[in-house]
Amino acid sequence: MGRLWRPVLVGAAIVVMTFLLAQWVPFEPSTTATATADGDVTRGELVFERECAACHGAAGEGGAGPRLVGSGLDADTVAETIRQGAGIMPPGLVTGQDEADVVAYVVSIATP
Amino acid sequence: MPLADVNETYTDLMTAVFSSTIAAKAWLATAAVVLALVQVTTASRMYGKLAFLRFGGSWVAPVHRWSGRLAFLCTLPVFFHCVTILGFQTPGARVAVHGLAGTFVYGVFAAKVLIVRDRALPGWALPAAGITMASTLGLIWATSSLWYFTTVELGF
Repeated sequence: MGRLWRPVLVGAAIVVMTFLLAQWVPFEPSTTATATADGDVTRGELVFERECAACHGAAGEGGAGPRLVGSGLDADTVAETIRQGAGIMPPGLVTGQDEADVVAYVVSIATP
Repeated sequence: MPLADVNETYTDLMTAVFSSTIAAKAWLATAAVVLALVQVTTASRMYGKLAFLRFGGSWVAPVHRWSGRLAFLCTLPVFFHCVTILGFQTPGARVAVHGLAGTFVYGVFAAKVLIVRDRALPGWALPAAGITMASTLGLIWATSSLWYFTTVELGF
């Protein structure tokens, strides 16, 4: 019974290291990666998964919110909708660089 | 390789086979859970349980070991993306539970491997570690792959 401390301690150490690594996020896409003129499509996809996918679907295929894939939305319309809100979507759900990145991503999937 | 290229490279690799990274992760996690079920079943037979399954013999132990190794391999690309590209997030209960269970998975795995190799431990330790491992994987799968298959699409 006394020997059980070793695997438990090693396991606990790995849990702590995993948590710290997940806080650090060493390969989180930077805002300069594959950046378009206004936003970063790659980073925008991650922000979209976090903030928008619950309603618009993981790939923008639609759900409680409208389908975005192939919708033909342009950047100005997407940005305006994010800022003003629409339906159950509150205004300013994402702001700043996150907004620019999400706009870039949504435009990339909206292009028919 | 610049750090910024890691996510693009990962996405390129995954989308060479699957429609998206999230689809790839959903199926890899599903494979890991199926292999974990093989682990639980074969382990039960080695302990003389689940007699109604009527199988046994010298092949059970190798199948148990290799299903474990393959399950571990299946989790690696999922873990890499979740931890090093997405990070720990808590936008909602599902993602929070998923992240918390995911934080524990390799700790539980390491403990189980150490327990397997220590014959002096009490007999209940290994089954307890195995059940904890399988349960953790099941919780991770239910809060990610199951959500994806039932909410987004059951496709590749």
